[in-house]
Amino acid sequence: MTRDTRNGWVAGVLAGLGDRVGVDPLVLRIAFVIAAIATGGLLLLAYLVAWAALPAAEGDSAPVARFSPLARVRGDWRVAVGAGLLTLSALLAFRQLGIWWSDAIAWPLALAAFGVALLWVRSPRRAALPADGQAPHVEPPRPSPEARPRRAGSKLAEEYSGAFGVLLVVGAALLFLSSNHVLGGVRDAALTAVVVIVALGLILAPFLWRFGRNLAAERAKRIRSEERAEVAAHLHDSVLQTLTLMQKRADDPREVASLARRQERELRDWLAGGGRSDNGERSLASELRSAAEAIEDDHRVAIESIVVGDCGLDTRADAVLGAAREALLNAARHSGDSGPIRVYAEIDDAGIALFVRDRGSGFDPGTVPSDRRGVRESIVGRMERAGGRADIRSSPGGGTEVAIEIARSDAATREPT
Amino acid sequence: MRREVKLDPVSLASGVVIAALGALLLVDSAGGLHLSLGWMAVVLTAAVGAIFMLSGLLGGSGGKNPE
Repeated sequence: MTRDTRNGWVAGVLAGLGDRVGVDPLVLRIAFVIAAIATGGLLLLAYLVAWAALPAAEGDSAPVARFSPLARVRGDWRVAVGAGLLTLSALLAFRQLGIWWSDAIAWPLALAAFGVALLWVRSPRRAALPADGQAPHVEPPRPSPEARPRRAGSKLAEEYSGAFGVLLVVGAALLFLSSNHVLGGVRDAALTAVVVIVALGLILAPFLWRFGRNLAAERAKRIRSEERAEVAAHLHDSVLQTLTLMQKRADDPREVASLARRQERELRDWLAGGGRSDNGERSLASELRSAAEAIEDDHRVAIESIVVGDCGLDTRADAVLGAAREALLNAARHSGDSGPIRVYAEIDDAGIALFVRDRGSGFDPGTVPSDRRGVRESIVGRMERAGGRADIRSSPGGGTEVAIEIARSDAATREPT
Repeated sequence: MRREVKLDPVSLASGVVIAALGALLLVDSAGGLHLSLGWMAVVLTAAVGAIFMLSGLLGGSGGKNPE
């Protein structure tokens, strides 16, 4: 909340309050004058406090904040509690000295003010549109060290503070009524009402309990039904369609195998939560899986990939991805029908280790002609330029294994292993 | 080896407040002053409030208001 000094008559406190709650400031001013007279001037003190504590809408900070070290520690609960206790102490001192209005007014008012302050703090800010069509005033953002994501605990604390605020306001009202001997007349009526409510509660308790239980059972049944419908819809859209396609392509075993593997991947993803990456950003694990799937589809080979951990795509991870893609392409081209190509990747804070294995015919790395740059440049050279290494282990008839390793940072590279 | 002594301003200030409170109570019990229950409430709330305030102003880590 801010003071609206442009539209205010004195310091803009009531104009700012009116803007905040969406009430015409004139109504607030009339109510303030009546309440100030009724409280013997106590509200004037409250007005002064509000003037000192509230910043102006034009961007000026609160008068008290300009001179007080409190500005540096705004938001610290200890300062708030200390200020509250010191104010209470001052009120008590005034009472002892005889500078006092009346117990029947001052204490309920103090309680109500505290309760309203609690409620105010947790109420959402109201964006009121002024009648003249101007843009609503927006409180300037205040950089604060306390600005951080809210936790679940703070939400609970807010709920409790709200309930406490309501109790304080109700308690203040009751205290005021009791101090002015108004409650005596309504006490009998209130007691009657409480007795009637308790009796009705006792009579209706079994019915209400059964009703609540039926509602819970109904809700559980509806949730189960929705889940079943979702599973049925997914099975129809994916698995049944793929099975139909496989029946049509029964004469092509590689196509059938490719369809089955694609469906398997999709089902596994769906069972695991449906997403490839947690936040939709490109990550090494998701890109590796995508590359494996693309090569699997293009070359009609089976690729089994296991990726442990994940990281973002920086220069080093990009190099690993490029080298792995090249190794997978080589394996897909040359392994033939020797069984699935296996990819195993382990990604952690220290580094990335990736292995691509196939059981194809293999080759002798020493006999690769110098003009064949696939392995030498795209795998080994790429990894060395990025600060890692790649080893090709292969022998004629014994399959091929490409081992790729790189540290995630220079510090990790320098650490002795 | 000599240990470095570091003053904790919050503890120091809180101690001063409590010592002052103790002195006041001592004077009261010695008959030099008559503190009524009302004035006792004033002094106690002021002392506790001052300690909280000093702790918030001078102290380091403390629970922050969620706001």
